Amino acid sequence: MIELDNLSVFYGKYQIIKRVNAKIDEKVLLLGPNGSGKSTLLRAIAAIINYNGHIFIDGQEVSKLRNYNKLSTNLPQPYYLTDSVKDTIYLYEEIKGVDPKLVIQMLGRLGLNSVINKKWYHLSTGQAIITSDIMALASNPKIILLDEPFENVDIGKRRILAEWIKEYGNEGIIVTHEVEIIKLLKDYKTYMIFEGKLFGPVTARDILESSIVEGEKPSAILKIEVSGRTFSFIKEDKGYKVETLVTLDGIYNISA
Amino acid sequence: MRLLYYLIRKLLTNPYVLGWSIAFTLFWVFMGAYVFSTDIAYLNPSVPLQYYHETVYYYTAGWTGSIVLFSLGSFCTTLTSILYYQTGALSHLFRYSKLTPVYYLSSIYAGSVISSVVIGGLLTAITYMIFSNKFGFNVYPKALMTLLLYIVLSSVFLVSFSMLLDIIVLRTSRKMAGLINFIPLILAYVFGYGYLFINFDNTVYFNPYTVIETLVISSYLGKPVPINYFAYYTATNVSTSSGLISLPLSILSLVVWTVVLTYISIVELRKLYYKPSQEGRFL
Repeated sequence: MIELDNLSVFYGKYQIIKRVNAKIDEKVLLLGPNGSGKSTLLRAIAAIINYNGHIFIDGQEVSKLRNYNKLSTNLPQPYYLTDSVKDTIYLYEEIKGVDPKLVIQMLGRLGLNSVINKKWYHLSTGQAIITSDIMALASNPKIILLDEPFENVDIGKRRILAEWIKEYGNEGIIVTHEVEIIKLLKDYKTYMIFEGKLFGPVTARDILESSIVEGEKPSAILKIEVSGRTFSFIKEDKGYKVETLVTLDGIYNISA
Repeated sequence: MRLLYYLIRKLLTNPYVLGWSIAFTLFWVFMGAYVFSTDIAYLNPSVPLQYYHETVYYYTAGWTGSIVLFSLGSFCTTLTSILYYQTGALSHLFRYSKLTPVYYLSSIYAGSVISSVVIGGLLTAITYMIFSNKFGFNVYPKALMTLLLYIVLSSVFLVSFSMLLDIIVLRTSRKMAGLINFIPLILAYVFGYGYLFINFDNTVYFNPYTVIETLVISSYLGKPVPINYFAYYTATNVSTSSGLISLPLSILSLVVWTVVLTYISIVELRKLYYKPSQEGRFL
């Protein structure tokens, strides 16, 4: 289980994550516009950056955690230990339990066998994301942290990746800001993050079937605050239909 | 073991390591043998053969000490940049994988030691061959195995020093990297030549660079080197008036330095978090 207790993250004097609280014991989606704090939240949980407050993984504080081998991520920083994909697979089999056969099988399924012999910095953005996704899933983790796993990925490959994400890991956070992705994972509980504040959860299906209106509505399935204004997600035929938005930036634009 | 294997392979095939630690250092071997040796060559007909041989031995051993120091200093300058690209990985992997600071540092130390012994051994062999060729007799290292052992000790110290410098940069600002990266190399040249020409007296024991040099020279000669090498070397006759290096004290000094720096690295490594490389930009 991932527990966030009064979690804040600062970059210099800027507070990116603002006193967030949550208990996550299944795979959830985390939605939010650019710059809302999605990746920062994942980096803090993945122990890539420091934080204030508390993050507990299965009851253990992340800053004091030692050799907990059941969490994987597709964030790029953990793979900076080596420069080539082949060496990463070789080394991470030993220290992270990555299954090399599974990695090769998954890459082959997506037609990306050639990346194995390449340096990470020679991969295209899409190739790097897919390879990181596969590295995260191929250690058969209990908890997965996936930051924009579909970014720059071909539509056809997205469906295959979505199936794998459903298959691997029992708990975790899948970050996106694209509405199309939500449609592939409709049954997932979903949190939304705006300006460093976390809202939710509701199911992705409920979000897709809702509309956004300004103000606090009694029938709201979710209320968010953006720049001091309140918006309600309601299952009524008025306001802006979420399903018609391309990205969550749309919600942000509505509030602007 | 895989991290160790990966590091050895990368270090020994790194063109910058090979270029700076071997090719550029070879330049100094040639300079020592053929350019700076005119005074020695001049001695040949004027002093008894025994003194001539002894002088050549001290000269060759002095250069070997400096060459090993230059080479390991260059090697560690390359090594200093390794951590810069791994900070995000380390903070994550120490918590979410089997990797531990001890395993990580052990791999880096072992990989560096093996690479250093290869590089240091190669340069010692080349120095021996070139100097023997120049002076016309076999100026072989008298205690080769001891010399290699000292190279091992020296490289362990220099790796621990590199790690500490890495950590200082990553705990302060990446902008410091340009200043700090070359410290192992600069100190190698300063003290590599410094010991040969300046009397550091008993402070040689406190300075790990002079300790390394005196250990290498001593093993090449097969006996302890004088504390004041320059006074001894320039004396008209060979005497040991300045006192000899205590080898146990030198080894103890190097071990203490290494243990202290390694301990600091292990503690500090756990506190490291990702620092974007862009933080090092000036423009």
